[in-house]
Formats: sequence, C-alpha cells, structure tokens
Amino acid sequence: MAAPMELSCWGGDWGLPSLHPESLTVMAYAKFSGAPLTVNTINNSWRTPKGDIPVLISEDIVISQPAKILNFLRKQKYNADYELSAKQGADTLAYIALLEEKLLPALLHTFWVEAENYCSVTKPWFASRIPFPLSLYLPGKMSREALNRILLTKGGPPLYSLSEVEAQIYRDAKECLNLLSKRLGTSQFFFGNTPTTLDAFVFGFLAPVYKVCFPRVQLQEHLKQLPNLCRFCDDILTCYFRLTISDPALIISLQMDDNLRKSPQHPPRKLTTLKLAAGGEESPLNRLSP
Amino acid sequence: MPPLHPTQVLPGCSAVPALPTGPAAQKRPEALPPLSLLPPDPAEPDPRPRPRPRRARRPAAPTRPAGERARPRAPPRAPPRAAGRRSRGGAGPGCSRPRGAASVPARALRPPGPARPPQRGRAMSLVAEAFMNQLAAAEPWPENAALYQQLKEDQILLSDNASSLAVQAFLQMCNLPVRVVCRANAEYMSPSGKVPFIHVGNQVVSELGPIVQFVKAKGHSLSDGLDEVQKAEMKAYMELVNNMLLTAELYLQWCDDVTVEEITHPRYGSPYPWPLNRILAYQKQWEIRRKMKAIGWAGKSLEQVLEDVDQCCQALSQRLGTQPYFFNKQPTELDALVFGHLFTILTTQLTTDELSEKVKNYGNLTAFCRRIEQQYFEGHDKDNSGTAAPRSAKRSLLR
Repeated sequence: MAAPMELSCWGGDWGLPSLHPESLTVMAYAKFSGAPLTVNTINNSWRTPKGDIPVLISEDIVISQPAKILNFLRKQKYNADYELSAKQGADTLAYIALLEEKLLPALLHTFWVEAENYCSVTKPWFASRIPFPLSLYLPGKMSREALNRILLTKGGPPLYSLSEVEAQIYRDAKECLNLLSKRLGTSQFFFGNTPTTLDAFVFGFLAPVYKVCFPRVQLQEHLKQLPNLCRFCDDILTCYFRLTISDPALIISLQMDDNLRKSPQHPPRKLTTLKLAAGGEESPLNRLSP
Repeated sequence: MPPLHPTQVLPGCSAVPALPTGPAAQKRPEALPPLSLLPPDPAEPDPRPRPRPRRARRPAAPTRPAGERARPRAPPRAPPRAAGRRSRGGAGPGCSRPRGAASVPARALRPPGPARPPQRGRAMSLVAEAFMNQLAAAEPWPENAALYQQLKEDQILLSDNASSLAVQAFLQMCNLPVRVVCRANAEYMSPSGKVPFIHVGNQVVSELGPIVQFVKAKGHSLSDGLDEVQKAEMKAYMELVNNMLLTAELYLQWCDDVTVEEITHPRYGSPYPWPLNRILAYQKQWEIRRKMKAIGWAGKSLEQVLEDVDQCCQALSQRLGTQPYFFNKQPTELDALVFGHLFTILTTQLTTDELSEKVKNYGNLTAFCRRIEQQYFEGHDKDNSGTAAPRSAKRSLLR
C-alpha cells in the first residue's frame, strides 16, 4: 500500500534497535513482513508523542498498542503469518499469552523495579531521551506503573512482601524460558524457516534481557544457559537488523583488520602516486637520451 | 501461581523449636540447604477452616518508590494469635515461619521487624515448597477431601464458578473423590483469597495450578504421558485461557455497568446484611478495576472484550480440531480448565447472551463440553446436592 507509515518508538542501545519490548516486537514484525515503516526514535524534542509507545501513524490513523498495530499491518497485506496452519496460529496466541503472563513481570522487574538496575541504567537512559521537565517525572511514573502491575497481578496473598513476589516471578520467568527453549529446539524459527508473529514477540521480549548490561542480571544469566534462544536472538539481529555487532570477539577481529591495513604489506596510496610521478619523470629523461 | 503453603505441620512432629526431624525431614533431597537455616515450625493451627476477615485486612499494593528498594524490608511474620492457644514450646514470639509456607499469614499491619535479606526469602520459599511436597507425599488421598466454594444458588459469580468447576473436573478426571461444600465466606477462608480451595487431610490448597502440583506430589498426574514440547504447549494454552477467558469474565462481571448493577452486586453481597453487602461488593469492584487498569484492559470496550473471547475460542477450537481431548487420548488439566470455563459460560444466564453465543459458534467446543460432562459428571446426579452437579447449572445459574 502506498500510504507511508511512521512508527514512533524508543531508540536502542547495546546493539539493539530498541530497548522497549513492545517497540522491538513491532519493529521485528515489520522487518519480517516487509512493511515499509519509517522508524522515528524518540529523541529529545517536544514533538514526539507521549502516550503509549509504540505508536503507528499512517496518514490520519493513529494506532497505539502492539496487537492493534500488527492487526493493522496485516490488513494492509503485510502478513508474516501467511503460511501458518490454523493450529499454528492458535499456538501463536497461546505462547504470546505465556510470555505476557510469565516473562513480562520479571522483565519489568529487571528494568524498572530492581533498584540498582533502575537507578544506574534504566532511568538515566530513558531520561536522556525525554525533554527536560518530563525527564524528571516520566521514568518515575513508568517505574511506579511497572511495580503496580507486578503487585496487582502477582502479589496477592500469601505473598505479602516484594521479595517473595520477586522469587515467584523470577521462578516463573525461568520456567517460561525453559519452555520456550524446549519448544524452539534446534530449528531456526518457531515455525520452520520463516519468521512469524510469534518470533517477533519472543524476540521483543528476549532481546532486551539478553543484551542490556545490568548490574543485577539473574535472568540474563539463565538465558545465556539456553544457547538456542541466544542463537535465535543473534540470528534475527544480524539478518534483519544488521546493526553494529556487540560481540567482543568480532570487534577485536575488526580492529585487527584495521591494523593490518596500516601494515607495510599494504602501502598507503601516496607512495603509489609518487612512483607514478617518478615513472613520469623518468620517461622524459629516457626520451632525452637516445 | 502462588506457592503451596501448608496450614499444618506433620502431626508426628514433637514440640521442638527446630525443624521436624521426623521421616519427612529425612526424605529431604540433598540440594536443600542444611536444616539449621530454617526457622522453627509454626504451631499447629486449627484444621477446621475458620472464617478469617481477610478482606478487610488485605493490604493495598505497597507502592514504594524504586529508590527505597535498597533497604530490603519485609513485613514480618509474627506468630498467629490463634496459634497462641495451643502453641508449642518453641513457637515463641521471636520465631518466624518459612516465607513461602504461610499457614496463617500475618498481615503487613504488624510493626516492621528486623530486615531480612531478599536472598533468604527466595531460598526459603524454594525450601518451603520442597517441604510442602514432602508433606503432601506423605499421605494418600483421604476419603473426606472437601472442596469449598461460595453458595451455588445465590452468591457465586461467573468467574468463580468457572474456576471451581475446572477443579472439580480435574479431580474427577484423576478419580479422586471430593465433596463440594458451599460456604458464604469461602473466599476469606481460602489461603490465597481465591476460590475454590480444597481441604485435604491437614492441608489447604487453592487454585488450579497449586492443586495440580499438590495432586502430583500425591502421585496422581494427568500429564505424565506428554513429552516436553507438549507440556510446554499445555502450559501455554492454560495461560491463554487464564489470560483471555478469565480476564474477560472478570471484566464482564465487574467493569460492565449493566451487569454489575443487575447481577454482580446483588449476588456478591447476598449472604450479608446491609450495609456490609454493598461495602464488600464495592471493595471487590475497586480491586478488580485497579487490576484491569494495570494490565491495560480498562480502556477496552465490551465489543473488544467479546472479540478477544472470540479469538481465544477460535484458537481453542482450532487446537482441539476433531480430537476428543486436547492431547488426543487422555484428558489433561488443560481439558479440565477449558471445560470449566466454557461450560460455565454456556450455562450461565447474563443480561445478554453475547458471551455464550461466541462460544456456541464453535461446534467442536460445545461437543467437547457435553462429552466431558457426560463422562465425568453424569454418575453424580443421584448424589446429594453437595456434589458437583453441573446439570443443576443448566437451570439459569444467575437469576
């Protein structure tokens, strides 16, 4: 469809296109289905929308939640689930529900509620991307909403203190990661060789856990013990996002390439031009001599 | 799922403040921390489920600003007042109980005690859960197991009825006898605040998830024959039902104004005199609405909620296909859960029929419900009204 579509979402760091799980889901789906989206990351200007992020703007239509955005894209014929059977479509819904119920509370906790993580990483990062007076208020509000959500959904009796709720939600999250790993097995994506909606959602939830460097990282350590999920995230990042590589081994190899370029085996261009000039000078001399 | 928590210790334990050194302790797996780390046992609480005014004491979501988390501060567990009547020698005021094993959970209204490191809380609940499993495994299923729910004719609501029916179906599928007891204050008796709960021997367990684990610890399991991928699928579908169907039922009951006024408020407070019935109903409504707002359902309209129900039913229908059960040959807890919710939706009369129409669109789901009803609930028609009788629910359940 010819209508240009714009997506406003949070930007990325640590090798990810976005830090926000929902924004990342929408961006991944757009890449999988080939939808031409222009992505505007929220920077420090006043013009960016402050409501629910991510927001898709297409001509006059403004859509705000990831499920609705994906529905809209499907209606515009950008459908990544085209080849799925009915049962696989049902499985998609079920696994997305599993992610939201089991993994999302722990993700919110790691980002927004865990004091060390929040104060040293999340709050400065988000505050740097929000214009001045709001940057003092919005991160705190997002943190309170996350805590509220965790306590209201998971914090009923007999779990009365936050530490017990934490224990429960991290246990659930680790179990969810194990289930996802078993379901993925050795295949490249969840339903064969082409990525679908479920891959977008799983990527959106897992990649922030996997890549962002936090001081308290128990979920990341658990995730790193599941190599097929790590491989899944890395594959999507390199194939569909082609971003800067955050793998230190690759960075070192790139630096080594630079060093090799400066070595004497590859002389810089200036020497070759001088040789040509010398050759040019010699030839008239040669011509002069009989 | 909230962790299991016993209300009882092993009857064989002597009155020693240290952890029971009875047979259950010796069966403890090696991976657990040494026994001395665990606090002394709580006193033996009353086996009769007694009404406790949990509602009034339920603490609001403690909203602490994130910065304060650096000081780990947990509401302590002072020993319960009821246990003072028959306290053992060791259960003095200084002792605390295993974190996850709150039998009579002390409320956050107690004055703050010494700060506890959070890691200990996590280790405690894992150890306490293993302890619970040992307790559960110690005894076989008794004959007098009871399942408590609210009053069937007047008080119980759609979502609670669905959950209760799911547990009844699960226990029927496992061939475990249970009798259904209806009490007006079932919600307050329940350890987690949610119905239904079962009272088996010395223990009280609520909600389908923990009940499944409890029954598994006793040696009965429906999902043993599934491989890992199928178990993952089963858990995912159970979450789908909880996420979409249960939330939609709660939304319809508590956030749709017409239903709230005509059905929910009159039913919820019906056993209590005025003004208590209105106060309790409003309190529950505020709580549910806050939860809906936190998960983002507050902004949805009724049509959107019904569409979500439709999508969920479509997914279940496609997964079921033409098979008799979701995992072909044998029923599992997923079948019990889906049956509980769908049967209740189909047989409950609300202000409009839209919800049940959405389910009736899928023929294989209605056939599934009928099949499970015939297979597992027919024989109990002749029993007294205390047993699960979904047939009686065929009459209009609400009004």
